[in-house]
Amino acid sequence: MADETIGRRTPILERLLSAVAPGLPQLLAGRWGGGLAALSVWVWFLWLVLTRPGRVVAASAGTGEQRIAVATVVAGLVVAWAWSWRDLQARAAGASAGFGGWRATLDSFSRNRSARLGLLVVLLLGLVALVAPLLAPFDPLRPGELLTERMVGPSAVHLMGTDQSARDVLSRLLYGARISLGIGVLAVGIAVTLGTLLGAVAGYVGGWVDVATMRLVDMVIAFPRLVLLITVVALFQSSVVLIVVVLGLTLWPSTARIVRAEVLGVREREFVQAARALGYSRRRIILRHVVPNVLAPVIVAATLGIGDTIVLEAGLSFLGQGIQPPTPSWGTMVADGRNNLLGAWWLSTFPGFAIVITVLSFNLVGDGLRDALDPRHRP
Amino acid sequence: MTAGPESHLLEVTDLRTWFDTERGLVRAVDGVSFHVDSSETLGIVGESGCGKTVTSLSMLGLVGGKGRIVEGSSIRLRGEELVSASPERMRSVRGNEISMIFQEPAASLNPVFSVGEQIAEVLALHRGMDRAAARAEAVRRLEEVGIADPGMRVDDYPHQLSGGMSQRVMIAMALACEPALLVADEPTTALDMTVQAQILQLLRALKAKREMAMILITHDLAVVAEICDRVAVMYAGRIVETGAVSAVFRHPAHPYTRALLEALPSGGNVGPSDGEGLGDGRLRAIPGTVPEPTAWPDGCRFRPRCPLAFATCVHEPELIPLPGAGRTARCWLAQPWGDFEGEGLA
Amino acid sequence: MSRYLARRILGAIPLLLGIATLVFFVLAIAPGDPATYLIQPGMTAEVVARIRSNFGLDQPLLLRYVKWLGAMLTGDFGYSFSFGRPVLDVIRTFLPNTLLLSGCALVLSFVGGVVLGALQAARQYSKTDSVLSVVLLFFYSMPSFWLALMLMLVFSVFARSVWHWPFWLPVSGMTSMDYASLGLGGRILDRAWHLVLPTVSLTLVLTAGIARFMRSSMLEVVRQDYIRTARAKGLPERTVVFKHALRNALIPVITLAGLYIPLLFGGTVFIEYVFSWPGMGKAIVDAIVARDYPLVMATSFLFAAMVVVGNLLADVLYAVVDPRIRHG
Repeated sequence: MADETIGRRTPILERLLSAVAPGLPQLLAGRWGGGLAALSVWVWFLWLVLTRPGRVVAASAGTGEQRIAVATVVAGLVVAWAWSWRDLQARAAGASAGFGGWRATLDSFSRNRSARLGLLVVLLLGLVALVAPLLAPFDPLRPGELLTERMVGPSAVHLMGTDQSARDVLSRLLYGARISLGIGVLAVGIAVTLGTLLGAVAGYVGGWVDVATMRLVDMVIAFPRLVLLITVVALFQSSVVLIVVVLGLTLWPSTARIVRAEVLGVREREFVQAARALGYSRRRIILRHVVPNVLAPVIVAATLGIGDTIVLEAGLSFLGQGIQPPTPSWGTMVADGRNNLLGAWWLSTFPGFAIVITVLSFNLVGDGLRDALDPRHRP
Repeated sequence: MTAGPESHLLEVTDLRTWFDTERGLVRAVDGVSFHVDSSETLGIVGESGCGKTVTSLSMLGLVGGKGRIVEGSSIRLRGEELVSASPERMRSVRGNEISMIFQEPAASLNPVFSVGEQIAEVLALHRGMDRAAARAEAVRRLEEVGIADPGMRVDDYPHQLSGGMSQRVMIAMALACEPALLVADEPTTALDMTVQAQILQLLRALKAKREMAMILITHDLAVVAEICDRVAVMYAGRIVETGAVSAVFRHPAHPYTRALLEALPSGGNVGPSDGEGLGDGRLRAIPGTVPEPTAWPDGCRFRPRCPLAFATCVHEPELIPLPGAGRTARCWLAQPWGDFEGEGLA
Repeated sequence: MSRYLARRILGAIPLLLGIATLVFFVLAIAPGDPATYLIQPGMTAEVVARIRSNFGLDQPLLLRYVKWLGAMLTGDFGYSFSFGRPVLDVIRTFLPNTLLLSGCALVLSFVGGVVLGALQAARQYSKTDSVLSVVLLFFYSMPSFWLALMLMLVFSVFARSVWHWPFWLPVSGMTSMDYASLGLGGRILDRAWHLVLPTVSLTLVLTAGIARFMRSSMLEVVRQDYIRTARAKGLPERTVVFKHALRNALIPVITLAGLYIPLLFGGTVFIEYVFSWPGMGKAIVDAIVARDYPLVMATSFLFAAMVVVGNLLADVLYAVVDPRIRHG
């Protein structure tokens, strides 16, 4: 194929290309996924560093989040460059990546174009969230010139306009990414961990433990998640930690149900019976043998769950019960624009659009994972 | 039986069914020809992957997805060409003139409809019966296939039936409109041994009553010996031997057929025989594996596994007619009986 | 069948009880209590104590719980501070509006989702399928409140004031101000006019989810052996798809509809809030903010109860459609 011949024909040219623009040789060889990711990260971060060198330098000695941003930029550049270099080496030597049983899954996933696109966007969003302090053109919290810059529509200076306190919408949007993604990932992390453990125990042990756990699960699932969220947040002082915890606590039951169903199926398989015959403790069997085999649907559910959680957090903030102003959450930003639909449509439109793109990408990845992991779903 | 193609009930000539898949062109059925006459049972025998199921589906035009019947293929029912028939004509053939039953009877019945409804459906479709008449007829059909208490059973749902009963229901459904030909694709493979025998007996009885032709697809030579009149052996998308069952089983002309018979635990003693079997009672497996349908071997397709292969085998042999009614074999070494007797394969 | 139903109903009762308990204790451990609403700064400790005892807040927790439970069972939900009316009254006023909205949305999204999903599956690999997949995924990823705002933007605000269309949709409420003066036909039209945007906002997101699920369910079913049998019987493709395949594909979708009911109510909260629709969702949000505990407890419980009932109905439907459930 094309990449083999390139590797053998012009190795020097390729290496040179990779040294200057990592990802480009892979892109030219038709390998869109890795090539595009590496190249876009490289170009983007280089542009960042070159267009605002002073700011970058200042940030490396600044607050924690600023230093994280600088570290991300540096790490991103290094990783992109190194990956491209090592990838060329591997190709030339004829090696191919692959880690056993996951190979088929990886293959199927890589062939799914929309899933790859989703993954790319998720990755970029994650990087945006980390790099926001360096990326944002304006300070998201500082009000601008109230007289002249209030409620200005999208322009060259303010790409997405300004809000009622003359703050740049784009900058707030970028910072909002941290909130939304951070909360989403953390909450789902809690939910998945809790749900997997409880579901696995319930499914494996059975008996009254199972019955009790499932009753609890039914109760929490029956309750409209939003209502519970609003209630708890309104009653106990709203804070980011509380929101994350409650979001996690309302999501674990659905994971638990999935895991329990899978465990029931796996429990009677031979390798579990063999483990039992060898005298392994129940804890060991559950943790080391059962759980790894039920992870597939959990991963899918987790990915899709991040999207749902982001929407839920946005909704909570929209109602005024979530993240409190002036912290920019996409939800609060949409709420800000609600009363100004006629005069300043951009206030609600852009943040909402950001939510849609983010959730869409997570859903694409989740769908792709589901198709890849379930052999029956493949076309 | 001599005479031209018009006298055969079903005549398949040079059937090719190919699939366009990601991994390349799959020539599942690659030039298959055979014929069936009324009251006759033809067995099509072969291992998994030889194309026998695709052949059966092709006859009813049920090859879906990425499969297509290639030009030049011919399937004639009483002289009428089916390959080029309109979709409406094909639909009137299915379930009506040619019926089919499948391997997994429980999965082949729709779980949300009662068995009576499913039988009545085909009667209403092809015979225009109203509900009451169709239901009464369905009860009669159930009785005919040996289901006890058919008046009650007609309202049962598939999940309430055993495997054997499900297959009986399938047979009732398939024969409801008195088709001229029944295609049975591995009808007993998924059933218990005793049930297998019952179903085969049922098929034989029903067939006799109606002068119906039957094509039985199977990998089980014992089944072929039990109820088939003639047999066609398939390998790698092609037919490699045909003939009357007794003749083929006693004196196989093709090395593959011979190997299949020798691979049986009974050492080749199948069906009605006079105790004179082939082989010496030892189990012999066929070396090698079935080739991939994306890449059939050049020349004779059995050549890589054939112990008797020699120079000429790099050219694919035609189906050579041999002495005996309908006797053919696709092998350069094909001879009338005699040469292989008493010799084991190396 | 009746045994199945009886079991389901019996199972729902402890569930409802559990939910009621959950609601009570969550509110009980929250800082502040019902009396805070009424306590003004400057009141003496005595008055405060008297107010507290009026509400029975000086009694032990378990006793309060039992009393509350007993009251609920007899239909006495207490008194709502923020509305100044008995809670039952408030519920009676607002519940029908929510049921109207969510009922319409549920029916429309179910029908729409099933039709679209089946269409996609019937035309798999075609352009229709790809385009629909993208569009549906887009709507599925959308927050309903944002969709509501965008629709409002286009069909109410801009339509009226910027683009001057001849027809636009209202921004809030269930009825217009001159509702009382309209005739019967006018009233129905007016209600429908007000119902459009909220229902559409709620429906689009749900439809997308159901359609996606229906599509995969149909694709799964169409690959089954019994579909091949149906074709082998000579049935026209339309019958195969709409009679044989659809019924089987609907089964898991019905259970999904049951799971969607809590989501539906969650979405209703947003929609009612955005469109100022006088329903339970808006009422509960306002109640929570105002710390109107009796109303909060009653409405939370009611929401959950409706979810349980909805799931029960889904179970019934499930048994109707799938004979394997009916005959065990």
